[in-house]
Amino acid sequence: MSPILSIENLSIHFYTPKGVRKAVDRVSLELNKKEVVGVAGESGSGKSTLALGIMRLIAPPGEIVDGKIFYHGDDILRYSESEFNSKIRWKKIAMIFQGSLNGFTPVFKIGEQIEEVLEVHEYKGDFKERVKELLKMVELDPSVADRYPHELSGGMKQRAFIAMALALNPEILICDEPTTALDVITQAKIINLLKTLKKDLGLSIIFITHDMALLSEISDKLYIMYAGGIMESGNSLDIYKNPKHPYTQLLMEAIADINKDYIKGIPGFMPDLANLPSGCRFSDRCPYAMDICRRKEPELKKIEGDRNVACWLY
Amino acid sequence: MSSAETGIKLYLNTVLKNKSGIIGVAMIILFIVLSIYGMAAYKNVASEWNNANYWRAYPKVAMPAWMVYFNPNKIFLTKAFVSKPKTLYSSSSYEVVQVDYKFRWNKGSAPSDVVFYVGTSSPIETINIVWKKPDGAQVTLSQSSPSEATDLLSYISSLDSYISSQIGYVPPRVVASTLSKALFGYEGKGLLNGTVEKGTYEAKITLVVPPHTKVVANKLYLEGNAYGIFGTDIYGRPLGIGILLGLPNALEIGFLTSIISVIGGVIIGGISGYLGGKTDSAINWVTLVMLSLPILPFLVVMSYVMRPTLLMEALFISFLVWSFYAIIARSSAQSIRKEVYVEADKVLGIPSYRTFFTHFMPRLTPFAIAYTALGVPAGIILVETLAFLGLAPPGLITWGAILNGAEQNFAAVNGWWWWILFPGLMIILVSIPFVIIGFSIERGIFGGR
Amino acid sequence: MSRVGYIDPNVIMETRNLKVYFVKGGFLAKKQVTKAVDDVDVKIKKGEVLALVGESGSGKTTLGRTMIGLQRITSGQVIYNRDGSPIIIDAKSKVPKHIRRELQMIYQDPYSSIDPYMKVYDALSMPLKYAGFSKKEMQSKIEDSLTMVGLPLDILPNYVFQLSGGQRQRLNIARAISLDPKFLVADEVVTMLDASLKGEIVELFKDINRKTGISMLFITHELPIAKLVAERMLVMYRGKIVEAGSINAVLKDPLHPYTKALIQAYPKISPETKDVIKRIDVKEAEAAQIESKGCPFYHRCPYASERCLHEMPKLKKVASDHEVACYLY
Repeated sequence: MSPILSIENLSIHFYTPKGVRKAVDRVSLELNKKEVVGVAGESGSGKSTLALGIMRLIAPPGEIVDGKIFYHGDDILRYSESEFNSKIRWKKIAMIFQGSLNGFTPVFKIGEQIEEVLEVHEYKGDFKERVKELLKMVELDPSVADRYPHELSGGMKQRAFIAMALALNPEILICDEPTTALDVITQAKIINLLKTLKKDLGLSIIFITHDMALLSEISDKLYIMYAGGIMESGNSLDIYKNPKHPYTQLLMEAIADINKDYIKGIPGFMPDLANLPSGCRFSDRCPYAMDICRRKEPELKKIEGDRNVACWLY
Repeated sequence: MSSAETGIKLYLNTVLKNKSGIIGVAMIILFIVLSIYGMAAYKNVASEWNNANYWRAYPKVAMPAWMVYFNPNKIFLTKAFVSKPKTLYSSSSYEVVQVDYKFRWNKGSAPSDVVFYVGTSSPIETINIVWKKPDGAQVTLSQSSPSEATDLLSYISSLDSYISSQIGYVPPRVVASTLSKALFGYEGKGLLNGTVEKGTYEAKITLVVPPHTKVVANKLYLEGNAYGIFGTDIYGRPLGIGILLGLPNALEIGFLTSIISVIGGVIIGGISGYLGGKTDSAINWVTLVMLSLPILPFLVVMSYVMRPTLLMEALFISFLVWSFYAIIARSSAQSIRKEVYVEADKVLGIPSYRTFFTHFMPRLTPFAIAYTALGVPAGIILVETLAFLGLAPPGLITWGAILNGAEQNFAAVNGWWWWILFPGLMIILVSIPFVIIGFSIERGIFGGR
Repeated sequence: MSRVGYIDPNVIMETRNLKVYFVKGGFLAKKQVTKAVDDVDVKIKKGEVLALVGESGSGKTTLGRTMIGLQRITSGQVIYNRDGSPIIIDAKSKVPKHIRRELQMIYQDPYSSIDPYMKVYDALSMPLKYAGFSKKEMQSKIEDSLTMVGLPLDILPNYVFQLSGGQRQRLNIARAISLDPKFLVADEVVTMLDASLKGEIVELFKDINRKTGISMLFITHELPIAKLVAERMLVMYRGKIVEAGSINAVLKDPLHPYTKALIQAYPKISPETKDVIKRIDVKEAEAAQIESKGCPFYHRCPYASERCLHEMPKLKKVASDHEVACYLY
């Protein structure tokens, strides 16, 4: 089965007075139908930029400098802006993010705001019915349509935003830290909802987060990002059980988990994206760094099954 | 602001980073140099500015001199002639001295005025002038106890009767140039229609003076209708000098008002926003009342009643505009107050005045500097407006006062465009660099495009 | 002092019937009372690290700020047991100035809790200067505290904005401990930090507690962090302490329905559950806080009874190291 979204060597650069920040550096990613792809990384790893890049929402001084994004085999980076907007954005690929629970205008009712999305994208059918259907889909009472955003809790607003994202039946939902601003119980419920939507609607999800524990509960496939590059990718279960890349290994050690009695830090800092080291981007923090790691950048290579690691150890 | 530079160096760098900023700085340097030059070179002129006699020998409402290049036939500069005085008669009670000028005139229009200048060691008793046109027609002008320099308006009674003898009536508003037309036109009904006799004229001046009077200097000026780079006003005062002498005053008042009002406003607003609570409410109430006062009417009344000096005027204006800066400073102080590091200071036992100086002042300063720059033109425009309304600080040369003169003498109706254009242009021009610099600081410090 | 009654000499910080209410509106708008801290009795022992766990809006930060005198008290008392002579803070009295520096706080956001345009040296020396230390003492205190938090001395001439988030948080800690505090409120100090930094900062707090004996209230919403840093924990929900006890007892055997749900919902490394819908019994929170005299969890609780609506259960000892405020026990 061919993937519905496939990113090849995507590079997004930001031009700053200090130099060119390579926020996303030759990233490749594949998303299949009914699959949750997790993108994990610390702040500054470029994971949110990647999401915005897929939505083609990179604003100057940032620019998509290279790469292809295939949606059902069509390179959507070659579409004109208006073509992308009318055919892909929100219709095929929708996005929710951390701040989207504050993404509603306070002066209009939730229902009106969802209807507006339907109207803008020329939805054919009964708006009121569709809103009801959408709210039911995200497990909200249909009466929420007649309420104002401030009358809803954070979790309800995020649900309503998910309803808005699903308004036009997209195939792909990009979730960028969608639960970070929510409390733990609400977060768990939203994750449950996303799992249900994946199953019921056949939705494909790109789930971006810094929370490795949370990601383990939802992702089928995992991409570990560090300083703009993919360090390791593969089946989620395998990576959590047996991380290969030294960064992934250290990250697993650093995860705080109720069932663990320790957490370990990773000494050192993430390199400046405008001034990446010449070799591997993790080389100056890596406990296994060898001579070659500082000279030459390792390519992401397949080591077994669908596992790819960018490390000279393999 | 992610670099370690602070203070003046930072602001200068911010300003000089773009082309417009460099232009702004260059313009201000030029203005300051011009001000110093003007104050040094025309020191004496400044005190004589309102003395009409001082300017008698200058052409009145003359166009800028460079207009000559556009129409050399009709537009020309002042011409001066000298002739040797002769004593015709001398007795123990009086002497008669004569000066005879002969000159050719072949311009297409008459001079704007004719000035007879005779400097004598004791006052002249009577002056009698016989004006002979190329075709032989004669006009006689006379006056008793004249001043050293007499222009045509000094002989208005002689000339009025001459005009009415030719055209049958005296036109309503007679100015120097009307009289000059009479001296240079063909006799008859068309005396004043602007046609000019070309050829050799003669002006024979006969003076009756006390005995032993010496003629120190004498000259005949055929006043041009073009003078100086910006022309002259109705008193013959060169507008170029007036504008030059108005520049330091404009800058001074602009800087004074802007510095006083911004510093005052930022301190009051900053403290108000920093303290919060009841003090803040009280200060804010006063600020809002001040903000809602109509500035100009208040200034007009104050200036009319008190006739303030430049410094006082600056204080008045500052008193009326500080509230604007206070409101902005207060809101930024309020947002700083919410910062966690302000509470952290409290926890760490740092006294609140120290917190104010470490956290608030460095954040309010860039804003204050930007608004100081932007406030200069605002101050200038207010003062010039007052001056235009005739309420300039007494004795001060201001562009507004020059414009006020233009307005009172119907410069626009009479087509004396230079009298309005150049002072008006200067008010705009002097504002430009401050606006450029103000915005570039604002842009550099607060971000945005 | 007669109002105080008995004070346990082993307790450094105590609250009694502490209430902190925020009143919004009043004159023209509808009066809204938020009970940020509602009748809270807490005891923090000398040398102890006590974790305070709860979600945002539970009032845990307000409780911490009130303990060090940053928040006006509505009623009740905060008692700081200062070497046997208790300092009482209540609705009318404030923390005396000279005692202020013994009660310190570290904030959540290392980026906003320290002025980025200050030099590191100034950030460290200013509190010491106003605490009355001499130049020489200052220098040695600065050096000691930097060493304690693991920052190199050569960053002293740098500007704060040149430091990373982790370094800034260390600097904040150094600032606080340089004043020799007796009690420290650490408010979500690792929440904003990346996973790779959390471990180090948590270790640092434990280290400081071990070496200096500073008692700490460690506020966090992250259960694993609480588990690592503290021996005892309190669970707070909408202004009330609903459960208290040793970390192990509470995490292993949560009693209150809220604590149960919290632990159930908390993400755990479990890739095998990726297709499993987690069972969560409690209802999602409503936007508006519903005022009632009873248990604040009533509206979400699957076991709620009529009694819960009208009367708030008191904290009840169910084991030697475990208390819960619920009628189920």
